[in-house]
Amino acid sequence: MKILINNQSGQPIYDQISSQLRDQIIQGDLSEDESLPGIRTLAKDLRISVITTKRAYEELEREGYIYTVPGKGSFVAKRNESLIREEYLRRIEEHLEEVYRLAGLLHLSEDELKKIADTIREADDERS
Amino acid sequence: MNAVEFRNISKRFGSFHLDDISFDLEEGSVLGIIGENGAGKTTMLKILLGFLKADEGSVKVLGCDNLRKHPEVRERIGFVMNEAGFPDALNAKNINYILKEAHKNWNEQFYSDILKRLDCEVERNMRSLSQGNRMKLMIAASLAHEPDLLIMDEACNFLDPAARAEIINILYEYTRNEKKTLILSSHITSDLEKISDYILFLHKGKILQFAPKDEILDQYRYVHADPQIIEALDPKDVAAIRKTDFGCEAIIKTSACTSEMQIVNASLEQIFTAVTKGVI
Repeated sequence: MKILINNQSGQPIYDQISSQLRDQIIQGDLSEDESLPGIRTLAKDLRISVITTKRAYEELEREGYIYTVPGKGSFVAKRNESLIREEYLRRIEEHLEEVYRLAGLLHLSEDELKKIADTIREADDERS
Repeated sequence: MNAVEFRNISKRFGSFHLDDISFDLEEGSVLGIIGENGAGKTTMLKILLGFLKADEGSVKVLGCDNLRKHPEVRERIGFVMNEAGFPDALNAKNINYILKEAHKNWNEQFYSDILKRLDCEVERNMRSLSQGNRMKLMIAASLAHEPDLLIMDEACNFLDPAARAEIINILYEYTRNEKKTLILSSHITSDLEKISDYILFLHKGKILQFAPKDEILDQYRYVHADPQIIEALDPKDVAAIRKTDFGCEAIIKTSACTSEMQIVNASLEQIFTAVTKGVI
């Protein structure tokens, strides 16, 4: 399991941890019921505050990606397909919002946008 | 369980007034105390250790509200103040010889490991050691009896950056144990920024802020922008500002940042000097 903290980015550290773990869980790099490092061990290894690792784990637990057994630690939750679908849909929305924002700056029409989308899809199809 | 509980502690010395200090520190946490000279850090810590009596309020340490009457609790506390703590004539070996009888738990191996890691002179006596080496010896001795609460009041002031980095490493390893609580008071904010879970800002005898370190660091940003942009902000969001002929730098609330600014994280030091003195 890899977790890389960037102290210089504006992103809060707890968010960096929960994002990276969320990605690894969604992508299947971490398997169901796999145990996660203890909050304290992770904090001391990464040289960050225990409060921060605790917050990251609490967020992941609230979202349903991990579960905690008192006295034993935290584990990757059962793969929840609808949860993952939600997450991917959310990211697609975010990306589309950005696409439309940029398109707006250029005053691109729906047609022009659609042409770009078609070109990309064709190139993708060719590659696969 | 809380390692330390301060309730409305007040103390007056002439014009100085430690005013209504209240906070709780969970067991297993690291507290960093920052404050200008004379803010009351040492006074507060002396009250915690029972060396000074407060005028008002109460303090509980490791569950005990009267340390003077409980040597078994005092035994679990270690401290380093930045004055020489051992008699001039003693050297590291003498200190080991004496303290291993004085303490219930004395880890001789840990003591000599720390001295080695810190490159401390072990043969020479306290009188002939440099101040930095004296402090290394005191730090080693305070850790060696494996206290549950360790308090260091500006213990690292005389140490070079490499020695300080090594001490922070030692403290990181020490605090892997969830029963160990650490209170560090220091001007060297970069050390506190590394290891603290909570930060206490003491200013003119009062608590300015007591919060998780990461929360404080998330609250402010260090920005560069055109002066008009900074001047247009709500003054409450601007902790400090410095204009030059070429632009403007400021410490402002993260929520006030916009894309017209060049933004980087603010260090604890920058936040502290901006918030207490309005200086960048």
